Amino acid sequence: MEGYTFTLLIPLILFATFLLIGLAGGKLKPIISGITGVVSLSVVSIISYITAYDYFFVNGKVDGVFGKIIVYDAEWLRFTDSLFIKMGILLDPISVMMLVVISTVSLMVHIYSLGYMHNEGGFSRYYSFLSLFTFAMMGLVISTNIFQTYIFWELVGVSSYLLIGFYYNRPSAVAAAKKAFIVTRFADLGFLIGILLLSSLTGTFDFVELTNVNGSAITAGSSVLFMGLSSMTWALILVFIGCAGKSAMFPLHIWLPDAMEGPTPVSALIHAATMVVAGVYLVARLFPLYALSAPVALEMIAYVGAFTSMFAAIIACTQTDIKRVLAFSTISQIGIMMVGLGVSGYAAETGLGFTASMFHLFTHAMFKALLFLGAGAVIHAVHTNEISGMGGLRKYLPVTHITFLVACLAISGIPPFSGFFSKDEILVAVKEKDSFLFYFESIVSGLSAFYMFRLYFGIFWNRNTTYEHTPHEAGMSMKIPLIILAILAAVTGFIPFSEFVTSDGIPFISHIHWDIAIPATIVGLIGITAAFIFYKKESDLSDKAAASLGGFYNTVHKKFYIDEIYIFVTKKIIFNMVSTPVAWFDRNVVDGTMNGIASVTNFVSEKIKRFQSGQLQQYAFVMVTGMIIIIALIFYFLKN
Amino acid sequence: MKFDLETVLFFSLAVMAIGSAIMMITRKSPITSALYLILNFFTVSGLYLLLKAQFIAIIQVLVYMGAIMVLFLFVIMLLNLQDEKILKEKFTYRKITAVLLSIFLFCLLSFTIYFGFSGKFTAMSDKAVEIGTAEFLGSELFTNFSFPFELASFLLLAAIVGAVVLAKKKFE
Amino acid sequence: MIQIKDLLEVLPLLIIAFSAIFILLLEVSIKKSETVIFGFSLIAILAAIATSFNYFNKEMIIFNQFLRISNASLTFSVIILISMLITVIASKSYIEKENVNFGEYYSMLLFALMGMMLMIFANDILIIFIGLELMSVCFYVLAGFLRLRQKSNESALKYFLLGAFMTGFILYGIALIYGITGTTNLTLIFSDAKVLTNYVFIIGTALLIIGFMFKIGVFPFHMWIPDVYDGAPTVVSGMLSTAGKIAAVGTILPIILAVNILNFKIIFSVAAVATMLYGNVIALAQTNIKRLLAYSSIASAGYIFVGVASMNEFALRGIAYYLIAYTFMQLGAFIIVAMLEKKDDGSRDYKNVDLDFYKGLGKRNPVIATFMTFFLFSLAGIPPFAGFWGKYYLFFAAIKSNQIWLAVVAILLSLIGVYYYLKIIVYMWFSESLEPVSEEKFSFSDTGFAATVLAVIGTILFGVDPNLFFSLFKFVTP
Repeated sequence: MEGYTFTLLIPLILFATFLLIGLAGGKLKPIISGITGVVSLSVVSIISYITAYDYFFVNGKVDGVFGKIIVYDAEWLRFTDSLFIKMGILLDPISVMMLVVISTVSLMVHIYSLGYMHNEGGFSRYYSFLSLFTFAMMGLVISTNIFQTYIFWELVGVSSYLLIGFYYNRPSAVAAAKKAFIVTRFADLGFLIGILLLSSLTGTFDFVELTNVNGSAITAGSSVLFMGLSSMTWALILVFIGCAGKSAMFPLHIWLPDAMEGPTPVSALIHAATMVVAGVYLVARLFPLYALSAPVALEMIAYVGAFTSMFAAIIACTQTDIKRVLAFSTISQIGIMMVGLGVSGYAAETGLGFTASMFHLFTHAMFKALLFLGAGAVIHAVHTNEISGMGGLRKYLPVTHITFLVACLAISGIPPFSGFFSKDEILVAVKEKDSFLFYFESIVSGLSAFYMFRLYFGIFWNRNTTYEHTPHEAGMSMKIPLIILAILAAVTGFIPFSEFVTSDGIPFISHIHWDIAIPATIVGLIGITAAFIFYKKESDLSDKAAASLGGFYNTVHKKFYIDEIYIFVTKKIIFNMVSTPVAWFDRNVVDGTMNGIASVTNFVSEKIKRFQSGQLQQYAFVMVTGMIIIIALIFYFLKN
Repeated sequence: MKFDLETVLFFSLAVMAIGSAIMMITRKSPITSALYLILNFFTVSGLYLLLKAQFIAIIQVLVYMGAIMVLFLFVIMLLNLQDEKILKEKFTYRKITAVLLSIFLFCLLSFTIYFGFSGKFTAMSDKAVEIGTAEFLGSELFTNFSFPFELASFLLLAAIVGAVVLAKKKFE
Repeated sequence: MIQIKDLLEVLPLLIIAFSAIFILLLEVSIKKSETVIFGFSLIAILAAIATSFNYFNKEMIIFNQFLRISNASLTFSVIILISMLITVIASKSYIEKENVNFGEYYSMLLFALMGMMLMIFANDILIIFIGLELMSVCFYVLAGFLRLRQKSNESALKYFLLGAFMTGFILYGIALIYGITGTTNLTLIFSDAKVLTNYVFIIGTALLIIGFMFKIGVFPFHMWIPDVYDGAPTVVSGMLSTAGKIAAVGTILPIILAVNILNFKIIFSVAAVATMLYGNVIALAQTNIKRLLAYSSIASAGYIFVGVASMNEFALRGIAYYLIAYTFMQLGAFIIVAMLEKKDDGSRDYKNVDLDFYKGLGKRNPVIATFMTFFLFSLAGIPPFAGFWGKYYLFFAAIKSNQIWLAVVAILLSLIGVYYYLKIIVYMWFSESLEPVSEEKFSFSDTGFAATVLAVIGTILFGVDPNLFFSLFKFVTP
């Protein structure tokens, strides 16, 4: 379709920006690089919005179906007559949606960074990496085939490696960058094997062919069984391993909390809104395959997602570094998206989970980016990441306070904020499929309300910490993105998502299911209340008691008593008995296993090194032995 | 198997060849070793003769026994090896394994040759005498095999240049 | 019979042979002849590359059936020529730095080149053997070219002794093949189907292949590689690990494909896995970058053998692609090491080849560090660099030949590779320089820089447009 040729500009502009800032960066004034980045991102955003408008409201719908539009597809590499790799642009509801998400969040981050990073060295380097990352991410979502996805997938990995390690004089940042890269590479291995298997089974890389429900790809490889599962299922499970790596699913989530060593705006862009949802996106992209030819894999995704969401939510309650709380919260929310996909069926109303998951991806991108940027503003003001070093900041940072509150309400699923709608849809979809998962996820959602408000109260209320320098609100460049994102986080819930993004492209109308929405909201409120009780007061208690001495004494006393019980139950039992062991397990067993693999390899390496003694006789000896073994083997095979 | 002069000669030469080879590697004195090597070359050239390869047999005598062995002896004498202990080596476990492996390799290869060639060659070709002459060899080298022959000259040239570079070139 | 017109059918070979001898004449007849010789060698190699392209799609057997020109052999020969071209360019400043600026050096390179081309074009085991010896003799000399450095001497001696040892086995193999077939001509040998199942023939071929596995550096015949690459002049190490390997692969591939060795697929697979395992695992513990690259080249031999073990139509493409990618990235990395090496000061060992030296290189010398990063990323197999496609084709071939386990293991083991390549990158960009850094002043007039730029262009070009390679070398889509 020629109408969309202009979308080619999106990757081209971003790549050109990267080259321009990257190559000329040293010569430019830092602020010029920054402005260049912002301007080019603005242009890209406008193009994305035009595309989205055009696709969803003007040209996209043909006979009531949102189809896949191949804007451009050039053959790039030929394997066989039927198997070749192309490079191109594919527009369909989810890729258009992702264009909007990525450009919006990236633009906000670009603007925000003008203020946030202006004191840091390497400003130009930072902006060139940001452009590279956005380019790679855009390339990933508009891929027409799984191979193009893989290439950009790797490029996303490399650019995020560069960004996490941006503060390269901090050893912890370097270690984190390395860890992120290696863990995701490890997962990509599964992905690559999955691609090889998939292409070997279906003879195509093309998404349109792969996901054509009437095509041959859907049934390919279903007859060949290996360990009880069809080879198609295996291929899709392997692809999912890649997704799990990028999207930080258990047990490959270990890189994400460490990746918080990167600059905070980077965390907002990469670790909240874009890169980490790439895995969700890819599963959604291949959804017809998962749904129709590998329901087992899909079920597995649901359970992995559910487990991860619970696991991460529990850990989030124990963290004291505000960025780490947000990191675990992200892991948990992505888990919820995976659950949404996992329980979804294909086509029309049964595909509610798919729609809900994409919806949640969309709203989550907005409010989580907002949370990270807000956290950045807080860190910028108080120069620490530790929650214990904060408190009472609402007076100093009013804008940040309000926007952060909006985001917290959104993530907790309080109407009318965006998170409410998307989470509601997911819960509805889950309920239809599996009531156990439904209760499970409801608890997760309560927990998320709890830890978010724990954070909120801890930062903005709680005790009146005295600060060495009076914290002050950051400049306009940081405030504006916060405000815009807050508005988006508040209102995007009203988008009737099911009329645009559905599993099979046919829009349907979904309603809010109040029978589920109300309990869910109540669960959220309980979480908030719990946080309120523990963290708004805590050190306030004595002050208040003094102020309202007399008639209120009893009440205060009684409350104190309740507090005691709560503290005993939660701190002593829940925290010590559940959360702490889980966190310990995460830190020592999961991390330890991964590190263990590395250190064992190193150890073996050091040991075998001695084998290489430098003695010629020994070399010759080994060679002759090898030769004899080979000849003996040949005889053995000849006999058989 | 016919019991004629050729068979007798073959077996006696073969036994001598193996015997001299064993003697050569077990002697302590390098000079004695070298002399056994000469004997070994001589018996091998006798085997060539039995195979009607006159030219090779003569070349064997000229080049190996003549030129190369003289060089060997020169080197040994110039090095003036007085203390033969330095040539004496201990019997280590590695050597034992090496011997066992060699025997195993020998078995494998003889097995191959025995079964691979069995029944393949029954009698020597009538033209054997003709083929073994210098004349025939020369005409082959300069007609059919002129290409590899020329290439061999490249090989020798490269080796000479290399040797000269490594040994003679002045290094500032 | 040999005809004069046959000479015109192998112009590239003729040009190289002629120049190798002509250089010797130039050296004695002109004073200060080094620069002239350098230019002359460059022109000769370029001419050979240019003329090579005339012969594509014209399969022929010439020189009394001694040589056979085919697309596959031309492809390998062009890759070797490219490798040699880059080596020659990089050598100029390197041998000046090391005070061994002699014309014979280039002559040795060209003789080796001639030997390699002979091996690849050979249609007769005799020619293979002569080519192999011609190549090896020159390699021994080149490895020991820095006569004043003890390491270089040691390297040459080890290479020579082990090489001669393996030559013995190759000869034995050839003797067995000749014994059973009565000919050394490959066309005749392979035309007799009965002979292909004969014990003697199979063992003979196995010995021949083992000899070449030694040259490629496949487990368990890889032991010499770290010692030799470590000690040889760095540019020569780069050449040995690229051109030398390619020549050996190009020579045995047709033989392996022609012989009915499918029963023995598993042997190649196991050798491939052992090689990758050994190379990648031991590379982790290295602290010297030359040794590290040597182990990485062992690992690469393993990847190549994944292709050899697959033996389907994809394998040849994969191997050829991997080899050209490998040429650019491995040679490029070695040349950068050579450039950063400290000038010869009469010491016995090379200076500035420790990994620690690379700490903070990104700040001291961002251009070189960037190039090195490209090469290492490519070696690690990260798109969009050429190395990724090479590995991808090889693993794809393995899957297509129903050896999924092999592909899985290969990808797993290449993951270990990512770790140590990344270690160098981290050192270069994310570590502070160790003080005091004894650094060699680097200038852009260094011919090594030109060579590196060529290698970078190749690494990126073939990474971004993999089709280029197949159209350039007239590969037919299988």
